[in-house]
Amino acid sequence: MKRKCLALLLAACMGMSLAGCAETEAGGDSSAGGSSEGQSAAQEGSGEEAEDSENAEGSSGEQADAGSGEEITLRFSWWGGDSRHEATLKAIETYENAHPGIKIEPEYSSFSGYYEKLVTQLASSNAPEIFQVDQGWVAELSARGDAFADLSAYSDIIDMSQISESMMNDYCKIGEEVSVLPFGYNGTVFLYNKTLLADWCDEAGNLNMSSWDDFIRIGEELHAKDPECYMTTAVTDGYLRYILKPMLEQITNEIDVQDDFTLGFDKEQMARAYESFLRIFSQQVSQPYDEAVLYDSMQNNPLWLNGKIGGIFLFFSNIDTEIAGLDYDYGVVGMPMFADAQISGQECCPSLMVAVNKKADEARQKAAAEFLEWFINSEEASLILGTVRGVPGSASALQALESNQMLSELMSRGIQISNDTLSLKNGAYELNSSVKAVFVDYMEKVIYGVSTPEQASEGMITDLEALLKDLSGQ
Amino acid sequence: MHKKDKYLGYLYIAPWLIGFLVLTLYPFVVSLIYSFTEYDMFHIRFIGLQNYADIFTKDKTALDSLGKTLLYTAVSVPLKLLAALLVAMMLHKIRRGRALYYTVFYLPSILGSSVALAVLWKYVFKKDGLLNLLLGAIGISGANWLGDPKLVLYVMMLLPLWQMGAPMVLFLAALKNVPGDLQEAARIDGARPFQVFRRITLPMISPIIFFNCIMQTIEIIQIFTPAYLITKGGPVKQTYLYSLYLYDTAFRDMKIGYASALSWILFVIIISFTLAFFGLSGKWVFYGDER
Amino acid sequence: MRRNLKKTGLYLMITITAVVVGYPLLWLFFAAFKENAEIFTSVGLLPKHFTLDGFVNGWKSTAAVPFSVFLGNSCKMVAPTVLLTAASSCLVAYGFSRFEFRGRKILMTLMLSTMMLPNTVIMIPRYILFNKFHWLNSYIPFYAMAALAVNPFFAYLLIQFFRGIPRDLDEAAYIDGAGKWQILARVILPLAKAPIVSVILFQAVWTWNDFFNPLLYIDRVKQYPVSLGLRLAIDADSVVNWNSIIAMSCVSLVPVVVLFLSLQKYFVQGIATTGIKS
Repeated sequence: MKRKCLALLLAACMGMSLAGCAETEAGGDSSAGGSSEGQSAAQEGSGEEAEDSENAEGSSGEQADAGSGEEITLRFSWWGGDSRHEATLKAIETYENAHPGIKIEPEYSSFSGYYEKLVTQLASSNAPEIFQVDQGWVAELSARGDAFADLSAYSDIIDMSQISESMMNDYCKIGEEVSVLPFGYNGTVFLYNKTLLADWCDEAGNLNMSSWDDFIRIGEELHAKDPECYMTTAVTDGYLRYILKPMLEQITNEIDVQDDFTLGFDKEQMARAYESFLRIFSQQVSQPYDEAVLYDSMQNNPLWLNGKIGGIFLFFSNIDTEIAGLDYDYGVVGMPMFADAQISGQECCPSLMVAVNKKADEARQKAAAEFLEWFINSEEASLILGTVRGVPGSASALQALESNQMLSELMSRGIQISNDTLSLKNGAYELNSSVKAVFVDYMEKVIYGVSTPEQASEGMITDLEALLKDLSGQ
Repeated sequence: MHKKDKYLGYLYIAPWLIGFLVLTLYPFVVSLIYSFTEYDMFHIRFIGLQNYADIFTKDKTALDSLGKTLLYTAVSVPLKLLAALLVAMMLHKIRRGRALYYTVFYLPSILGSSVALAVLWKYVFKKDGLLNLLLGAIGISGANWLGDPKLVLYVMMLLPLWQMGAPMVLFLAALKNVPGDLQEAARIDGARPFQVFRRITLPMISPIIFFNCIMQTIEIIQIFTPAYLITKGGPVKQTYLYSLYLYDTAFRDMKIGYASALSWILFVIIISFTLAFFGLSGKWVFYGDER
Repeated sequence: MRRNLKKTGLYLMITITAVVVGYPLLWLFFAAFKENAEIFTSVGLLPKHFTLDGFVNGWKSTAAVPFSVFLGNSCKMVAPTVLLTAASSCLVAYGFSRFEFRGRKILMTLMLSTMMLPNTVIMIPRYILFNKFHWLNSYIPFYAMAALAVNPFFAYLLIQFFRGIPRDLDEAAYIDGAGKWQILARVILPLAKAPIVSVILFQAVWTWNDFFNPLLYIDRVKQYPVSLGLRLAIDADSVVNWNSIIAMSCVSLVPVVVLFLSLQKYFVQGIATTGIKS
């Protein structure tokens, strides 16, 4: 017995030293030092080959090249789900096969933890050359971290005319610099269950709903007809972005968090928005908030899955996802509006964006730009990627999808409705996660009756002003 | 004790000592320094005690979440330890099917903070979930356990209780170390089972009770999983525990300096609890090596 | 007769408790055989439409990587970590519990106190440190932290148990000519099997489930452990195959459960000290 224990300790110590040696060799190449990169990439290439015989062709091509020392490895990080991962990996493989000197190291993960890791990497100069970002992070990462390479230096490589001018100006440029590019873009529409709402549709199946009053009336009638049914539901974030904030913008006709760090609404307007918003709960138009709050996606919400929800507000890019596997007939309609509103308040913005690391050397930045031109604009890439990053923001990519009938009918209809709707851009800090947290905080207080709309408006404005002062760096 | 033993002790604790100096001391010192600065991961500015002053005078969220966290700890630590001890005592006595029972009671801890945990927890506690189905069967109409701001914190206290595998295993190991002949002798002397437990078993497992008390307090006061994974701190911030607030401050608001100050406040709280535990331990904890 | 009744009562009680604790897990297991919608819409235990899709698809590919890769990575990450933890914490615990040296109490308090600063603020400086050491994208951070007893939980746990072992035994061995090292190896360790096994078990479970540390230290998906791999497919904007995720969650429990089952007999053998105590 004693011997056994000794042996265990010994084995452990040996394991320690062995593991130490083995790993320093295998893992020691994690630094992005320029000179050793060719060598480490060659190592990776061979490792890959052993692991993954499908890639054999690609990596043998690379190996031949590795000797010349011209091979460039680009790290590319993104978040997403299965379909996005699979399509992106396939696109990367295609690109690598066509460009033997380039190796793209995919670093993908789920959304949870992505931002934390990215910020840590940026702070320690260890971030990937190419990284996906959310529109809401751009202003802050740029202001605090100076994280983004100026892509306008590569305008001869990336054809930016494929991206609409308004999108470039509203979301991609900071000052004169092009900091980020959109992967996809989005707008808010209402996806409704034609089967459930048949009584309120015309013969062609179009829902007769253009105002919030219509919306609430239909909701009341639906709930009266079948108490299990509600007109709509949402996740916490959805109640804010698809219902409360559009109501607010329809009242104010202003961007709610403006780029000069002021608010586009006052106390009375916010309180009015809250009062309208509360009606969807008090008139039982929405599933009760305290039940809806448990689900982080429609795919977990039993009422939606069982066809007991009239419809949901969503980004048109997500239409196919939300109805996957469900056997009902669906239609799309635009945002309801207040009678005197001039704009819809829909969020019409890039869904996912991409940036190139400012700290990367020039050769890498250039290689990244070449890759992004292919990834964003080319027909080849668009056909592989489809809508896994939303409806493409690039005109040529969208064209490729349309001419190959790769957009579902509902999605095309959603795009059209959204394009035909007048709306405001998102403020640079509107979707900043700290700003959003304040909105959510007070929205919940109002819904749960902890605060009256007036109290909440006041508290919210105080908090937001303090936060914006902080963010403005003054 | 021999002279050379004086230094031999250092040799044995050398692994930890090196680890402390190389891997722990630096992050500790750095975070202490950060706590006196305004630091957003990219720029740093020394601001003295401003962070601490702000936390105590302006930051209602910090004090609220600290209060919730202390309540959470005060309720769930004793509950968890009691449950772990009771289950360990039952497991200690049974023979047949032991492996199966062990596994069942330890499995929730193995599940850890897996994503499946959130699915599972909502399945049990949602309005039309398992618990309310059972309550309905005996004629009680259940609440909306996770959606009701008044209840949710208490419901989440059940999570550590369910995942009580670690202290349970330790209690079990300690119980096995209680010599059967001592208990037998006491029983022959006419002691009732409860007296045997109080006079013999309890003192003999007291070092492990003490250990579990300290470790569970340290662990649960910093608990992150239930809030992060299941409720996201809601509804209405009712489960916005201190560690989640800390995390949001650091990563969402990029206020590393402020988060460091929050951390060091928690550090002081935990260490005072621990020292108090140690101070009281002389009265009820008995070690075999004491003569 | 009374004894039997007591026995039955005991079994009844423990079985009821076990059902309460275990039923949700059983549901989770069966959920892996359900279709996506059914997982969230029905309360029932057994699947209405039994499907193996969750297991088949999840195993074949989770986020474009065969699940076996994640399992293998987790093993590579966990096994050395566990052994190193056991070794280092035995040494450190022995040092603290059996030697008198200057600053012992202070060092012990210092050791314990390192558990009390929230991880959130330690993570970033530690990341910077590991980056400087070129340890990122390998499991060395985990091995190093284990070998250097960075988590004092384990050393402290063993200290508590070692202190329960009477010093008379050390002295008897010392008189027989054993050195300090031999006393540890021949007297202390054999008597502390149950706590050492607990150390192994806890460290295995915690490292296996660790999410934030690997998230920061590992960039390449092919090096991801199970805890990261399982979350790869979860995304609010994509179709999430929950049955695959739950199925693979169940599969990822298996190695740890096997470890637990193979170790559990040691908790029963804790009686080793009985003979000597009196």
